[in-house]
Amino acid sequence: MLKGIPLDSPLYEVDEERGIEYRNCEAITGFFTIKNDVEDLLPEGLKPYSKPAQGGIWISHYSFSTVGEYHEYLTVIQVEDEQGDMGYYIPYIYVTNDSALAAGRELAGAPKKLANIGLVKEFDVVMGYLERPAGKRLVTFVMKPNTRAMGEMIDFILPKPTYLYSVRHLPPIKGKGGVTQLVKWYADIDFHTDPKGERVIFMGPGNITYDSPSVIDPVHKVEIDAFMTAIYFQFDMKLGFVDILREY
Amino acid sequence: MAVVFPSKEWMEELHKKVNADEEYKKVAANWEGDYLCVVELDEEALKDFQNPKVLKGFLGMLDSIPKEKREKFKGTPSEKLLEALGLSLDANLSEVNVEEIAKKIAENPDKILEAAKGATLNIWMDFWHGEFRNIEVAAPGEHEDAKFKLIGPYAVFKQLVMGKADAITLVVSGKLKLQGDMGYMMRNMATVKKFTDLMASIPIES
Repeated sequence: MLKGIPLDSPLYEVDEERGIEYRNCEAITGFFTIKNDVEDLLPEGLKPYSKPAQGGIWISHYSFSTVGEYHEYLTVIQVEDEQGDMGYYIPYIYVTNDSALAAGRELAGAPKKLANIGLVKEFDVVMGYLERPAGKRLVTFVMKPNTRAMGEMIDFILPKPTYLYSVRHLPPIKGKGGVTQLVKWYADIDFHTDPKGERVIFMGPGNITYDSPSVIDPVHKVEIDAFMTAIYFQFDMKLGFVDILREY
Repeated sequence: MAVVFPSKEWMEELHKKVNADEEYKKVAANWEGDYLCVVELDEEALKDFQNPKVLKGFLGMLDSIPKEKREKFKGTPSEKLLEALGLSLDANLSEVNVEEIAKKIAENPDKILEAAKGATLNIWMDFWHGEFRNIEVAAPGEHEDAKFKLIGPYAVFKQLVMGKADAITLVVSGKLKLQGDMGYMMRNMATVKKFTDLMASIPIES
């Protein structure tokens, strides 16, 4: 077991073999080309997968996980690592639960912060939002899931496993004990299937707005150029760890 | 200027439009490779072919295939379709009486649709480092080794051409099937989007 602190009552306990397990989740993701140069957002060892660079936003609700129930927001940049694998680097990630926050930061280096995140359905629209603090709306993502996504391209956008990258950083104290590492981890997504055996993935028109940019949480630094696709899906998931790719 | 889809004029307009676009040149600077679009002729196609102008455009496209290559149509559903329309592969398809044939389709849509089952209109397009090098109508079996093959019903291609849906949406939804190096495609989605945006910006004569 990978355990956090306090040692006698850890905030998280993760089975290294099984990873962090999730059940009955739903998410919306938007995929787009990025207007600005992302080189300065990427750590050494990763390069943009495409030119122009592509990225995405993921807003989800996990109704059950082994680190608890929570909402999550991610900004990702599609990258290629030195092993030639495609994956997503996470410059910004927010959660609504302290156990997920601690596990993500300590084990994978995911730069998680707590925020107010929602994934709501109203009328014919699914809306995800990120606020920090509550009321300061950083991102709104709306989409209308009106068409089944049956094509194989989804499996290239979110392959199994989908590699994720983050920089795990522990500042040194008086020059000792510091760690800065590029961590490769993964999400193994199992899309739910309906009674007909079709995957529960829907697509439709959508858009993302950076409503009220904040210098404290600069998610708007990943500028959206051409919006490619928006999908809504229901799924189970496992998060696990691949390797430490680099020590800086 | 509005053009008929499908037609040679549409192909020429697309070729001209893409090559004149500076932004496309920039976005597609790294793109290398060709596409074979396999347009499956469906009920919507047969409905459109009842319009003599559209039928003329379609037959004009087929007529652009050199006669020596038309042998490749022998025994294919496309040959059966032409036969059902009272046409032969040797005919000068640009000069047939389209009003008469359109009327024939309108009078027997089910029979012609049955004959059209499996018939396709294949369009080959070649792109290289920001240049749209070539577009032509392909005979069955030609350019099968294209880097990408995009397959789907006429009605769906028409949505794409008329800008009612974009290529990425149609591929992700599975309405258009894309075969080829998907990793390469993933790296070049901006190129695909720009190309299809340009395609959709061509006014289509109804």
